[in-house]
Amino acid sequence: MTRTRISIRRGSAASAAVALLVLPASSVLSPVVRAQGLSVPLPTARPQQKLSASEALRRGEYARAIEAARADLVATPGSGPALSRLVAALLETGAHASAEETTRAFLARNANAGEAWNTLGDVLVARGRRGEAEAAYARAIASRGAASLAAEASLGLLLNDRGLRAEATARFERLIAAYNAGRATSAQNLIAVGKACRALGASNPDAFKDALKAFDEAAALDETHEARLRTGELFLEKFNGTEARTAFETVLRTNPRQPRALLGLARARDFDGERGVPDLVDAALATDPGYAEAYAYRSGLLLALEDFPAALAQAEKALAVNPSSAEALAAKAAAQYVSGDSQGFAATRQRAESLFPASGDLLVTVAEAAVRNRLYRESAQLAREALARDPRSWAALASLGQNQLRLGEIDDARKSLERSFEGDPYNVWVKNTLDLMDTFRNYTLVDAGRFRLFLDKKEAGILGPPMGALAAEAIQKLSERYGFSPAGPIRVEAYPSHADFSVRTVGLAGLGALGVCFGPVVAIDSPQARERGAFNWGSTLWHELAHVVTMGASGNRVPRWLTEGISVHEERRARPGWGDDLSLEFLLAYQAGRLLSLRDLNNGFVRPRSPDQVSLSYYQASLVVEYMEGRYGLAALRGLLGAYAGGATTEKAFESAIGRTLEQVDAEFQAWLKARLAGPLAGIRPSGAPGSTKGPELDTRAALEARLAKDDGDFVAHAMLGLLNHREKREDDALKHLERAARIWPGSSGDESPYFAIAEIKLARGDRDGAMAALKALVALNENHDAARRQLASLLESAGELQAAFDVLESLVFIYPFDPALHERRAALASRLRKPREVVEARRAIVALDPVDKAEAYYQLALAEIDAGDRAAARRSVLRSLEVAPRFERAQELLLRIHREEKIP
Amino acid sequence: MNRLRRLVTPAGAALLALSASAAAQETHLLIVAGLGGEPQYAESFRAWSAALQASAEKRLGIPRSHITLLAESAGKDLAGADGRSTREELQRAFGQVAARCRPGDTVAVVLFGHGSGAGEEARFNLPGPDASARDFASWLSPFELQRIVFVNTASASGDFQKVLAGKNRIVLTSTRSSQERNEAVFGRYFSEALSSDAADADKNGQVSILEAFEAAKAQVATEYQRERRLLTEHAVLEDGEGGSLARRTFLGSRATGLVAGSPASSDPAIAALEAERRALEDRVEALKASKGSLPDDRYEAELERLLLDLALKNEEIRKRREGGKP
Repeated sequence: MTRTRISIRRGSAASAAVALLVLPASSVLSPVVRAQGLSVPLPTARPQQKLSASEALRRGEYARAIEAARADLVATPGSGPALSRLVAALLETGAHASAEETTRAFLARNANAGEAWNTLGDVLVARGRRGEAEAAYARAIASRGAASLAAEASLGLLLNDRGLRAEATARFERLIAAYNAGRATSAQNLIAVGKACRALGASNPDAFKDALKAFDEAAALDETHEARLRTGELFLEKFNGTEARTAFETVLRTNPRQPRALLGLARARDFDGERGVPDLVDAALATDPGYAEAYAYRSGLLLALEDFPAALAQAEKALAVNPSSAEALAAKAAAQYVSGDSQGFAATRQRAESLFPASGDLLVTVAEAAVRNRLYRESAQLAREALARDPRSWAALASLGQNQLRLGEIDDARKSLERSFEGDPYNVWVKNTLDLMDTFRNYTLVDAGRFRLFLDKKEAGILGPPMGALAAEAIQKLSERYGFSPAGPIRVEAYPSHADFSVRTVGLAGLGALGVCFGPVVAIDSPQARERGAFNWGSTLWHELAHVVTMGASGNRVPRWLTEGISVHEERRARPGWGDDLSLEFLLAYQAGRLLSLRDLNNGFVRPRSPDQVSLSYYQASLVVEYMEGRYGLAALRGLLGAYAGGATTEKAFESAIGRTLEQVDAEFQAWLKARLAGPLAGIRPSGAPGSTKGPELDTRAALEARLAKDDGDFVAHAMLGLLNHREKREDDALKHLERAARIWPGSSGDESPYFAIAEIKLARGDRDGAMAALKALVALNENHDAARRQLASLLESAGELQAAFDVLESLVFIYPFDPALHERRAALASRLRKPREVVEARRAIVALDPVDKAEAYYQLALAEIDAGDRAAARRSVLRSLEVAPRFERAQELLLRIHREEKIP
Repeated sequence: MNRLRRLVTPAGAALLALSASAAAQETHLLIVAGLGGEPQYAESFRAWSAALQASAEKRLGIPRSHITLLAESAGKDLAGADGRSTREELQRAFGQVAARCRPGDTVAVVLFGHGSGAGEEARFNLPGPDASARDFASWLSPFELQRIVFVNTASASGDFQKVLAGKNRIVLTSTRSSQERNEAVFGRYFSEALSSDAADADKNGQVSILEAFEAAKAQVATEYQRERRLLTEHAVLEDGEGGSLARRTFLGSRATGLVAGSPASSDPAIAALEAERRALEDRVEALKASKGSLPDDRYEAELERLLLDLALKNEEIRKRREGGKP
């Protein structure tokens, strides 16, 4: 199937792709009739004292809506619309029993009121009594009243859920026919048509467009929010967070308490990785304490935090409200599955399958929960089982394809995703991923021992050799430390476009991470994906490979905070300067009491409350791991991973591996941390953050000087004043303050660090040793500072410290290896140090960088290869040189020399 | 090593004849430093123009009489300039070149300065009225029998491509469109590329227009990367042949377009060897052109055989020139 190319990703792509839904291209709906009713004006707001039940309901003034609707029913006891408004208000505020009681009372007086039977059907569905609901809808249809089309759609959906698809489809088709005959002109009927079209979309994707069209028309007539809510929910189903958000926010502008809009917005934000999701779910439940889907969603959020008991409790709450809620059953099943309760999972699954015999939706939900808990292989299997139940489940195919991609099964992934796209071309995630896979032809698979390096063809020659060597070193050391060696090949993918890396990782652009580990597959940003010096790809790869080991050692059940903590800890162990170090931000957060407890540390990764909480949590987790290894030994970390692999909860894992509770370890850690930070904190003032909006202004000379007059031990004030003086070329003053700052807190390596400025000043004054000392201090703390490294390498070389200079240059390869000058310097130094293999590596990198003077580059490589004793390679290289420049005399001489020495005929 | 004993092939003989004919071609170079606007730009344009003028004369062997240099302030700021870079002077200079050049000659125009406008009204800024792309099209129209190398290194120069491109013309601009309006540094590196061997990628002893372009473009990218700036100039070369014409085009007295190094020897034995060498080079090029259609191992074996022959031939020529026999 051909995909329409849409170049922009994420929100924009989603908008573009799904916006097509409103265009009636191959619509089953007649365009003539479709335009009807659009001129009907929206209800206008009335003065508060005269608020009608419907208007009060629209605004979310539920008590007034209920009161007014009851009054309407007293005034007109047989009014179906009045009943409908009252029941809607009751249902929206969780008064399900009252809603049923009221409806049944009405029906006792008006047994043939079709609209009331339809209302009863809605109430019964909300209460999980689907069989009774079917009967109620049938009565509504039989009455041929105003709500008969709505009842037809609702009954069709219930039948569809039961697997009676032919019967359901016949009912949906009747709705289409009614629309095309001009009989579906009210908001309620248009919504019914939209629901039918949405259901038909499973077998005919064009029907999704019709669904949107019908909802759109209904919204123009709707005195409730139902049409917009349906629109938003359809967009969410298609992973179009932007359009969904617009729909929900429109509703919330009128009714800020509308529970479905609040939950929908929560889902849209969750989809985009934004903060505030739990608060929105809480708000939805505050309005409607009987909102089963909200409890189910909350369960999913807790599951992502790996709080399995709480997740299960929320799912149970959902089921208490609605025992046959598909979402509630799926939430419960997911919690049971992820927590390892296989018996419970099987029971819940069986219960759901008896209610929804032809649906794979529960398994798809569980599969996605498994992904959130890094159980990719299991997730793929669940998706396969979902497909076995419902071969038309495009969501299951999408889930399967994404998991196959995560597991490195690229060809199978493409097939699954193509099939999913064929069935549902409006899934933005699938489309983005397929677009990304189309670019895979620009990549090559480099075989590096047990690693398969999936690299952009233009980068493979430069990144491949150091990446292969580093990966091999990392996996060997990490396997030894944790007593676990991953089986089979490990695939490492590096993307020169961050957007592509992001789509690869989460299906959408905008991911903030640098790397991700799916178990046997690791994906990272290539150094070209970010600004030069923005990150260290070597430490990033080491970090992800540590995940490969810890996830493997724990059967993918290690808590997020622990695996991240180990990975950062291992970065620091890998190379001097690698990994997060103590930052000013961390010190200030500690001072402000903003660090999370160990029990809540997962929140810092999954649901951060502030943008910096993620990075703070990474560092904190690494310190916890460092503390645990120091206090209890590496065996404790191994023990924890082993316990998780055995299915232990965190409580049991800590008890068995360390003999302490999580809280006890946290308390010990806090005491350790306090002692550890005491020194640095002595120089940090609570309001001392550069650019802080709290406390005194720090950016002016006068403010800084005044601050230092009162307190000479203020690190930030000294550092800021020193840097200010340096910018203004007042170098004597600058040096005084910068050196004082460095004495107060020698561990500063961020933007506020005094070291680079000290080095610049000292270098300008001819103090090479002083400059080198400052630069050494900086690069020992900061893994990304390439300018400092380049400068330091030059100084070391000029001081005759060739090996040290070479080591610094080697460390630059892990920051930005696409600089020909770097490799020229590496080659020259390696040559001076008589390191022929390293000269060859550097020369190969130069060739891979596609220099203008390729002939010279290949010639130099050939010379290096001869020095390294690799004449066969030298012969190949000199031929490449002469292929570019056949008259290149030095290369010709080398070719003759090789032939004569080798006596090649 | 009977490979060294090959006779001059008919193809080699033809090349020899063509070489002699080509050697008679001359290059006429018009260098224009436009309006600087600010002192640092004026200084840059002066420096690049002067460097090109010097290397054209000393390195490329273009007679001074065939070089015209127009500067923003002739005499005062640029010793050796032939006139001021006004529109009138420019028009006059084109007329003078047209009067002296012969069929088959190469006429090269290199502009250093700022640009503005778009389309046919794209402009090269001069003291006084600017010169538009349409003006240059008009001034170049007499040169139907000459090869034109037109290099506009100004900002916003991209639209000159559309207006000036044509048969037997190589048009280089420092930007791909008129929308790239930031200061361009391509001119500096283009001038440098013609002034040294560094850009001689095929090591034939000459820098072709294509080599100068590629080298300058790479240097521009390196400079932007070094200074952590987004690349705001994307140089373009258009010759109607996908770069082939530019690859065959050189400036100056060594501009035979065929072989490098010293001119054909007067020693008949050496001349014959040179002809054989050219034939081998021709076969290498033919083999390279068929690379995609041959199995890799066959291509590699044949390439090595030819390159080895070529190396041996060159060695033989060198030894003969040094006075001995091979």
